[in-house]
Amino acid sequence: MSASHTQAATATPGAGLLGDTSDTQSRARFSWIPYLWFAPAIVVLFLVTLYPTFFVGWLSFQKTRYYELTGFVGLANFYEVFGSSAFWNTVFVSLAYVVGSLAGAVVLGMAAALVLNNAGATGSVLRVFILFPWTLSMSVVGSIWLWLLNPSFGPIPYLMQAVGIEPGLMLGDPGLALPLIIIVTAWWSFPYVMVMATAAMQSIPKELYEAVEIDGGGALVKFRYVTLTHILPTLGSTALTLSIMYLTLMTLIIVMTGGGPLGSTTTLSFEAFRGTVQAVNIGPTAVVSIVVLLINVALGVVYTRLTGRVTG
Amino acid sequence: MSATSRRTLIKAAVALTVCAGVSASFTERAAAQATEIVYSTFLDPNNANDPRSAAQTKMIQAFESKHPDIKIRLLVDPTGQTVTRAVKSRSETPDVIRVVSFGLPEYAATGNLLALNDLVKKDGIPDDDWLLPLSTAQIDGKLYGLPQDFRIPILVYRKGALQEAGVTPPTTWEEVCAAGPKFKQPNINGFAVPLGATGGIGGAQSLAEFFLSTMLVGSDGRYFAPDGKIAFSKENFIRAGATIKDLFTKCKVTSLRSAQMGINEVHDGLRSGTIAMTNFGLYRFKTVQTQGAGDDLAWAPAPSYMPSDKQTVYSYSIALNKNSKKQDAAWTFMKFVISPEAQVIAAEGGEVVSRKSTYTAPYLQSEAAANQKRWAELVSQRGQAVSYSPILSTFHTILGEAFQRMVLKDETPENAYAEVVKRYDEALTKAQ
Repeated sequence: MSASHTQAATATPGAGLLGDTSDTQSRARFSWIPYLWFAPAIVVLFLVTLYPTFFVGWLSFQKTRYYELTGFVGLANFYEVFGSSAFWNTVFVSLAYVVGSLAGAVVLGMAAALVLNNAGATGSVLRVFILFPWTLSMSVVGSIWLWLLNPSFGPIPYLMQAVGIEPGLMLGDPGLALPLIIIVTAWWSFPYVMVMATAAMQSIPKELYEAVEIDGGGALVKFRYVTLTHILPTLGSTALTLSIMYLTLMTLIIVMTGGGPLGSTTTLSFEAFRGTVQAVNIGPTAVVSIVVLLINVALGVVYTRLTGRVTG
Repeated sequence: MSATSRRTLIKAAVALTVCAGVSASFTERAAAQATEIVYSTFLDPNNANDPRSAAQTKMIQAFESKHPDIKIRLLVDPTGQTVTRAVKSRSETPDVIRVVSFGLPEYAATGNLLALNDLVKKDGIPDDDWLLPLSTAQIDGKLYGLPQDFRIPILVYRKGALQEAGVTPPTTWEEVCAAGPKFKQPNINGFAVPLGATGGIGGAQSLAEFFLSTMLVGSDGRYFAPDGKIAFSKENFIRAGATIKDLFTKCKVTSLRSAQMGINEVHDGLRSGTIAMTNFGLYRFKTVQTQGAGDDLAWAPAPSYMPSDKQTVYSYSIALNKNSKKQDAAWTFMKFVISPEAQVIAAEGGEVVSRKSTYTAPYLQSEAAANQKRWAELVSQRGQAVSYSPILSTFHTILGEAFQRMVLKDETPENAYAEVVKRYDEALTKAQ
C-alpha cells in the first residue's frame, strides 16, 4: 500500500512545488513496517555476532583483571603482542597448519572424488564410508589418533617397527608433532572436499568429455580442460571454507598435544583459548583474537567473491 | 437453562476461581520457601561407572531430606572452565564451588570467594579433626575452602612387570634410577615421568602434581610465597631437574615417550601395562584396576630423596561464592558436606575423606576400604600442605616447556631454572 502511495506521489509532476507536499510525500514514503520485520534479525545479529566482535575490539585497547576492564591502554596490547617472538612463531605454526592441512585435504579429497566418480554403485557405497571421519566430533578424532599414534602401544608405531622403521616419539617429537596434527586434520576433513568435488563433477555435461574424445584428447586432457576447469571455483570456495575452519580449530590440538611439545603445535586460536583461560589481563589475548578475525575476514571476502562466481 | 441454574453456575465458577487463586498463591509461597542453591562439581550424576557420582547423589539426597527448605541444583563442569569463567566474572552462581585446592589461590585472587574463617569459628568447626589441620589450608591467613578429601601422590606399579624385571617398589629416587637397566622389554616404560600438557587444568599438570610440587618444595615446605612469587629454592629446582633428566638419560628407566604424556596417557599406559611404574593420583587407582589392570596393579608410597620425606598433599575443597545471594543456605550445605555423616557417604564412593573422625565408621573398617584407610594414614604421616601460585596453570605451562627442553634438547637444569624464573616473574608481573 505504501508503495502505491509512493508511486502516486513521484508520478505527479510539480508535486514538490506546493509548500506542504514534500512533508506529505515523506510521510507517504516512510514506513516503520519494513524495519519492524527486520528488527528481530538485526537484534539477533547484533547480540550474537556484532556485539561480541566489537567488544573484543574494545577489549584489545584495555587492561583487564580477568573479565573486568581496568583501564584504557591504547595500543600497548598490540605492541606487546606484535613485539613478541612467540607470537610470530605462533603465526608461522598457524599458517603451516592451515596450508599443510588444506593441501592434504584437497589432494586426498580430489583423489577420492575422481576415483569414486566413475565407480558406479560401489562408489556411492564407498563414499558413505569415506564420509565417516567428517561426521565425528573433533575430540573423538583426537582421542582415536592419540591411541593410534601412542608410541608405546599404538598400532601405527607398532606397524612401523614391524617393517623396520623406528617410530620415535611421535607426538612427543617437537619436529614431528605438527606434521602429525596436519595429517590428522587432513584425514578428518578430506571427505568434505570429496563431497563438494563430486557434486561439482556430477554437474559437468557428458558432451564435453565426448568432445574431447572426438578431438583425440586422453584422460589427462579431460581432467585438465574439463573436470578441473569446471570444479575449480567449487574447489576454491571449499578450500577457503576449510581454511577459515582450520584457523579457528583447536579441539584437536587441546586433545592431542595441548600446544606442545615446546609450543610446536600452538596455533593462534589455541593461544587465544589458552590466554582467555589462563591470563589475568586478557587484553593481549583479544589482540590475538583480532588477528584471527582479520585473517578470516580476508578469507571470507575471497570466499564471497568465489561463491559469487559459482552462483553467477 | 434456567436463570437459577445460570446463577448457580456463575457462583460455582467464581468460587472455583477464588479457590484456585488462593491455593496457587499457597503453592507459590511453599515453592518460594525452598531455597535453591547451585553446587558446581566435576562429578556427573548420570555417570553410572563412577562410584563417586553415586555417592554425591546419595549425599545430596541425605542433605535435602534433612533440610527440606534447601534444594541443591548441580552444575556439572568436568573441565572447570564454566566455573572459572563464572568466578572471574563475578557471577552470583554457583553458590558452592567444588575446586581442587591448588586451584583455590587462582579463584581467591579474583576476590570472589568468601573467607570462611569467621563462619568456621562461629560454628565451632574444629581445626584438628582433619587428616591435616584445617589451618594448613589457609591462603595468606584466610580460609577459602574446606577440604572434602585428601590426595597424596603414590607409586602405582604393575606387579608382573616389576617381578619380571626383578625390581622391588623403590622408596627413593636412587632406587628408581638403579631399576633402569633391569627393564629389558623394549616397549616397557620403567618409570614414566609425564612432561606433556594434555589433560588437567593446563600445562604440565601431572608433572607438577605428582612430582615437582614435592620435589621443588623439599623439606622447607616452601613452594610459593603469599604474594605469588616463587618460594622454592634454586638448589631444590636444580636437584629436581637433574634427578628427572637422569631418569630419562643416565638411568634409562624413563622412556623419552613420556615427554608428551599427560595424565590420560599415563592412565592408559598403566592400564595396558606399557608403564611398569610411575607416581600417580590415588584417585585413579581403582579406575585403572577396573579398566584392565586388575590385581596386577599395586601401590606403595611415592619415592622421594629420603624414605621418610614429606609429600605434598592437596584436596578437593568446597568454597563459597562471595557474590552468592544465598550464602546462609550455601553455608548450611557446606557444613553438611564436611560433616562426618556426609563424609561416610563420600568414603563409600572411594574418596580419602578429610575428617579424621569419619575413619571410625563401620564402612572404613571393611576390606573394601582398606586402601582408603592406608592412604589416609599416609596423608596424616607424610603429607604436607603448601601454598600455590595464583597463576598456577601458567606456571605449569612454563614448567612443562622448560623440562621438555631440558630432556629433549639437552638443556641444563640451571638453564631450565633461569627460564622458569624469568618467564614466571614476567607472567606474575603482568597478572598483578
